[in-house]
Amino acid sequence: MNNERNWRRTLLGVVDTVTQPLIAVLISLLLGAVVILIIGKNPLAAYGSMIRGAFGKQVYLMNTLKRATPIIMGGLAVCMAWRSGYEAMGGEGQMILGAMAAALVGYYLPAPGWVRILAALLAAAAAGALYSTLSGWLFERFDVTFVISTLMLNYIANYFASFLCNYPLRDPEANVYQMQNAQTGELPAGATLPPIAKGWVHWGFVLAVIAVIIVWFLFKKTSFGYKSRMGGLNPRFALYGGINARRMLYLVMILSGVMAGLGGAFETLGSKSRYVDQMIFSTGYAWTGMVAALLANMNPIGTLVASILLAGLAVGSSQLMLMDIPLEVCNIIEGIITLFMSARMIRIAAGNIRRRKQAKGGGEA
Amino acid sequence: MKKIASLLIVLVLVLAAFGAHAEEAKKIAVICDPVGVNPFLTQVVEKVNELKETYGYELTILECSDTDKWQASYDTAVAEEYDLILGVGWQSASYAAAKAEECDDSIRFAVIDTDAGSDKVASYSYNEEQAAYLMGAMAGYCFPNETKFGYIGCFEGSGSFKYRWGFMEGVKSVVPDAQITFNFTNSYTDPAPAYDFAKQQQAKGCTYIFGGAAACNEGIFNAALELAEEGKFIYSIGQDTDATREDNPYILSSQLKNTGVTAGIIIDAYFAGTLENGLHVLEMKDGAIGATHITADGIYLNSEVLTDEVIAQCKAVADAIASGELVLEMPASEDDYTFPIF
Repeated sequence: MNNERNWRRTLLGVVDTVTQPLIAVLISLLLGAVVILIIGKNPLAAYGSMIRGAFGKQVYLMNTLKRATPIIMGGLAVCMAWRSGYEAMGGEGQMILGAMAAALVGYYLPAPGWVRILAALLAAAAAGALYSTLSGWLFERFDVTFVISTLMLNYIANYFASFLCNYPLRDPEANVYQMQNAQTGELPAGATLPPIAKGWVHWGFVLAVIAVIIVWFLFKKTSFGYKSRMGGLNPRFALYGGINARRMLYLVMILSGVMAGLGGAFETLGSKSRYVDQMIFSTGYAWTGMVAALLANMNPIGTLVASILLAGLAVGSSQLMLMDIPLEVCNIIEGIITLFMSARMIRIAAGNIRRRKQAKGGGEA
Repeated sequence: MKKIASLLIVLVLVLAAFGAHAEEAKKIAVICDPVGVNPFLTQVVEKVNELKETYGYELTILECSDTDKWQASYDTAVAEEYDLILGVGWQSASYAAAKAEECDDSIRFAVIDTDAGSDKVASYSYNEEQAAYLMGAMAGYCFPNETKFGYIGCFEGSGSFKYRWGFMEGVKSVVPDAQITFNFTNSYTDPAPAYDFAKQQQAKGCTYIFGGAAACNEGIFNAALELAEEGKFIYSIGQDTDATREDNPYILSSQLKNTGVTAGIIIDAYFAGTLENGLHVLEMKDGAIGATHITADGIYLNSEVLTDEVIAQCKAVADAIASGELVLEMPASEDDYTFPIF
């Protein structure tokens, strides 16, 4: 009897989790169809073309998986922090610094290619972790809200990376006829993440999938998930239960930063082979990762799937342009999904803040 | 029997004609940043659309909204078997070179305003420093008593050094003790920072501001109109295409870069079978770069500032550059040059 009840509860939970993202996607596709109809195209043909452009050929599928790689890592960073009750939005800044650290180490370290790759990954993880820890420290020491500190730190990271690739780390081999904007030097061939096989996505994608499994394991199979959640939502209750909330805060922020930093490194080492100014900022990987995590209700495996879908949406837009449909239409669909999801995001954030306040008030009373 | 044979021959000829026509319909893809109102790109799009009538090719414009879309667009164009893939802008260089290595000669690659550094890609770049020098000289001739000049560009990469160096040297050729202040919008299309920078540069004492910020220049032009209402006057120039207009007399000229003409050169050469790979550098003598009212006509002339005398002086400079009498030797690297910044 109990088993049956548990089973029904689990099933209802799954339906509840899946329903809202599905409704959001369906409504956004319908609204997108209206836009496509307005510009005089067939929505079904357009969506068909988009799906083909994202998954229809090996080259398109690989582009989708390549684009999904930093999005997955950005999503995992959000899963880490948000599941623990910290509404950190600093994935972008951490990813930027991770990407830059990887470019710097990969280019300048005088070592064999594989050593450069390992060192670049470590440097990126460390850069992301340190930057994430900074916002954790601001929260713990000065009660600076995560939303504010992480958003501001994103800008600082982007301008700092811009400065580096404009001045001290600018590509020394660029010639005047290339008309390059700011970017660092190209990594040597052996110092980049190679494709899994010829014509396939780079190894960064595999590492991202491994990271998904690790995060899922941490949350589901260890006490970390419970401890971190308690530490974030109700530090006093956590302390009462023998959990060091301060330690958990920093641990969560470090792990979250590592994920984002590695996401940046995968993009540098696997895709661009250098740091190009605005390469994380203009692509919005971290924000798309946040949308993916929200779509998946902070479930790491769901985040993986949602990241691939959102990356496919972006990559498929190239195919839409073959039908003379402006790329803005695809951006509109993405925007609508974000809009529908943001309602959920605000609810989660508001709930977390309320619970934390209640916990504080309860402790003081 | 004869009738049937004749009919068959006619049928075969008609089918052959259709077949030949289908074979001739080439596919051209243009890969670039979002076009919007950026004159650097609108010129190309207008030209390739115009030539579609002449050559009857299929045309697709693949706009890349972020840095990651460039590779995806190149992959798409190759996968969909386009015959000529034309990249516009510096981002296209590495992707064009990499894809050209993978493909056989049936797909041709060309890039505008960059050097792919590949013998499998036709690269078309410019000596923009020549036109920038001309604009600097114009600034000096228009305002010989000023020593503070402004510059608002898009990005401070090595790609903009040609503009900055050319402009600075041009100003200094007339006003040797000239100083300069730089600001960058970090965008090709956002006029808001350019508007703010223009007002700040005016407050710092600039009367002339070099508009090197593509579509962002609109911000400078709007600031000039607003400042004029307060009795503070600044003058600027447009970029790539003629930006002069009657409703804004503070736009004196434009530094022209005819990317549309270049696209035309590439497509004509492609269909004539004469498109050569390697680097082609276009100069003032080719008519690919220049200045409104000096090397080309403009829509509106503010003759109170850009007087006949100034125009004559500027034309002399342009002629000297085009004829090779004035050779501009740019330093190999920005590190070898010091701007007199204030």
